[in-house]
Amino acid sequence: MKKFTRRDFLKLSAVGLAASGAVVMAGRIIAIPPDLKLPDPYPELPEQVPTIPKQGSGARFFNEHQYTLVATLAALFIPTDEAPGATEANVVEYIDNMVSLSKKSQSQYTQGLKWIDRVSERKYGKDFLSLRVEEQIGLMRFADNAAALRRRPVANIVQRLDRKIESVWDDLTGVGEGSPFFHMLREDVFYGYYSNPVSWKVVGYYGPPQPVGYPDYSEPPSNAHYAGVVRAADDTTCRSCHYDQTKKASHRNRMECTGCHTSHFDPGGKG
Amino acid sequence: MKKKVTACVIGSGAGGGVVAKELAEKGISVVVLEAGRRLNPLQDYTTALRDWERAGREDHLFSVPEMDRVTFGRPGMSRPYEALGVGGTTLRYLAYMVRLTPEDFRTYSMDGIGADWPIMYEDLARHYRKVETEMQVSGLHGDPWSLWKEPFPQPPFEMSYRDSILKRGFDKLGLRLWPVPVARLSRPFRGRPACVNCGECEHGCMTGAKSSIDVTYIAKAEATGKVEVRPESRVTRIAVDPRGRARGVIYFDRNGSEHMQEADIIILSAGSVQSPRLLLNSKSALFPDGLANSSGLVGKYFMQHVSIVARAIFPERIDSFRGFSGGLISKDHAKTSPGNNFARGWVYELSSGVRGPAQMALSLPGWGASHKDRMRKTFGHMAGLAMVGEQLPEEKNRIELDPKVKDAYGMPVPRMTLGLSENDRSMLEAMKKHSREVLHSAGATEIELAYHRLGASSHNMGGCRMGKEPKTSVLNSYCQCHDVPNLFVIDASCFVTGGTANPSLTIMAIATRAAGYIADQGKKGGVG
Repeated sequence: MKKFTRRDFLKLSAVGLAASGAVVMAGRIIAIPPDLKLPDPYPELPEQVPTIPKQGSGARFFNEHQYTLVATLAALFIPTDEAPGATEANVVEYIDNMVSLSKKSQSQYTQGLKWIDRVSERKYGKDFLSLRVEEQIGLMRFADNAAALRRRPVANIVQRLDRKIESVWDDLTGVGEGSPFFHMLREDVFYGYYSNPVSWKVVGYYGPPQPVGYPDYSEPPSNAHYAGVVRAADDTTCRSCHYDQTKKASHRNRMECTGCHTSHFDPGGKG
Repeated sequence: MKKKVTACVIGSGAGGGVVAKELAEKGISVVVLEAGRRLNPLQDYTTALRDWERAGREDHLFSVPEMDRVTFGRPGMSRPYEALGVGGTTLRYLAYMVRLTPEDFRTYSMDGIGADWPIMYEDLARHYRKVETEMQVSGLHGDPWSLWKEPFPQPPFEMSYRDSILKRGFDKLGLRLWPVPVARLSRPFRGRPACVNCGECEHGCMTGAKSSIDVTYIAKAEATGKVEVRPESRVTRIAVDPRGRARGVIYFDRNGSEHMQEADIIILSAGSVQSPRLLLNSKSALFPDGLANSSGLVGKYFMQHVSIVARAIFPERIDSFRGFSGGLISKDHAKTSPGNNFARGWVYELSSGVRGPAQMALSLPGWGASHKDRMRKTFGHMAGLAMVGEQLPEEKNRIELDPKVKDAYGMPVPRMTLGLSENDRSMLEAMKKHSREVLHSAGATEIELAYHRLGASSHNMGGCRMGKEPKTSVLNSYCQCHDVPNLFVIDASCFVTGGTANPSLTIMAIATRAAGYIADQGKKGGVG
């Protein structure tokens, strides 16, 4: 039997619309190229083959398949080149930890990862991890666009109908229901990578803004920061006042802080 | 039923926090009902964590989902930024303390547009001064645009490296820049440390160096022993007595129990979105169109500032995430100029653009090797301009009740309708063109303009404007409702026009003035 394609679906929808009297509009819908793609934001650079970490024994929520799948996807979002990527920053562990803390994320991730494999099965006949890297990237582009197409602004009723048809088609093929997952995953991978000191060296960041602040903010940037001369890029500083969850730290406690803020305090408390 | 108090204040931000402290210092007992929770800066703010950008997102810290809902009367609008918590939106403001100018109060007399305020700059001047002292504003006196020349309580901060880069553009075009007065401590003050220039004011100030209302006015108010702040109290209605005076406030506590707080005077300080909504939700037989709404103007003349954020990439590294995300201000375009095809104008506030690396990564489109490469070339190279322009007041811009959508307490949510006038559009066009010119002159290689998003502003103003005539305004010049003498609306709702100043300082000055009036009236034998 001939495979039912997206184009057939569009035609069929058009027939349905024509039958209900919207002949002119339906004609215009068919005229819109069905495989409308959004332009790539940047000229393509050669993609690196990602290196995938083996599953650590300490995974909190993901099973082995999920763990490897997230790690693989993360490595495609932020590949390793001459500089470390998501793999080196252990983004999968960050996400695993984050997901383990929230019931909502757990169901989103369980569903979303199933969706990735389902789309992969439908397009290539095998699960995501069995694909070649180019196929994996292709599939991610597809997922990316599916969500973007759904969000793109529409100017008139024809475009609105076209988008509706697209989304119905996506839902029928199981793409649409999961496409927000792609963007959620992108966000989580970026948060995971860029909160890791490994990435700070790559982009030239000094670490979290507190507790040290930026004493050199009026000077030109210098590389000294990275050596930790100006600030210690380490969140163990100031544990005494910022992390004591047992004491109910109040405004008053800030006065007792003997760590990082000593120099900024007026010990007499007058003013 | 709770024990009756003299004054009940709804909201603890720039309006409510100030009123509570001013009344308490005059010996008046006050209950403050705040919808948000009481945040603990050291525990709740996240700016010392590695993943501070994720952990400190506003929806984690400053929102109450069951009451946050806002709907829109027209497509293409975004939700306004507000913060819920003891201290209100000052918890995440940048603490710009900019006064309105004398002209801002008289746009109708001067330019024939908008409307005149029932007060003049001179009526607020000493209250501005008082607030600046309470908030320990740091700044440099003698700026080229204003007449007041008194020194600020705290010395100014040094100019940031980022600002020195951007200043090149202003210098080339012959525009003047001046350090913006800001409520951050440059020197330690009464147990609060000096600012370390971490720059993440919007994520809440961990050290208390930023003068938000919780560490200034509310702390002082509670120290008087006259003020009780009740966090997580969600007000649904204001009740009236048979004489048409406000009788009390109906609210739900954190456990979902309903209470009535009776008070002689009720002060509504919930902000320009929620204050009109509460009045409209407080319908009764005496007030069928909503409380204090005989003029029909409750919710009308709502304004925000028209704004564009211009972000630019520079060839050299600036590391503009260092330091305060504002710094210098230019008011050279703030006044009506005969050469323009629009009235009024805008100010430039220098800015960092996108700050943290994760935010930067999310703001760049795409992913993969090209995205990573783009990050390396962009991060640390960005600086920008924020423009704050005056949106003219129009009756059709309004807050009303959504006819269908209700919140978790069964109360209709606010529906915001906001459009741009011809004047606003022309001003936005001029801003786009001019900001490009400034950034090019500063040496930027790439410029991206984030266009004005209707609704997506923290500068919510108007909705219960003050005026001399009860027919054309909701409040008198002391924020007292024309219709209900013991009900006051003390927040940005009372603004008649928006000017180009960040509204907090003016809200606080107006609150100081109104609190003085309330206390005086009380001495004379009761308000109203």
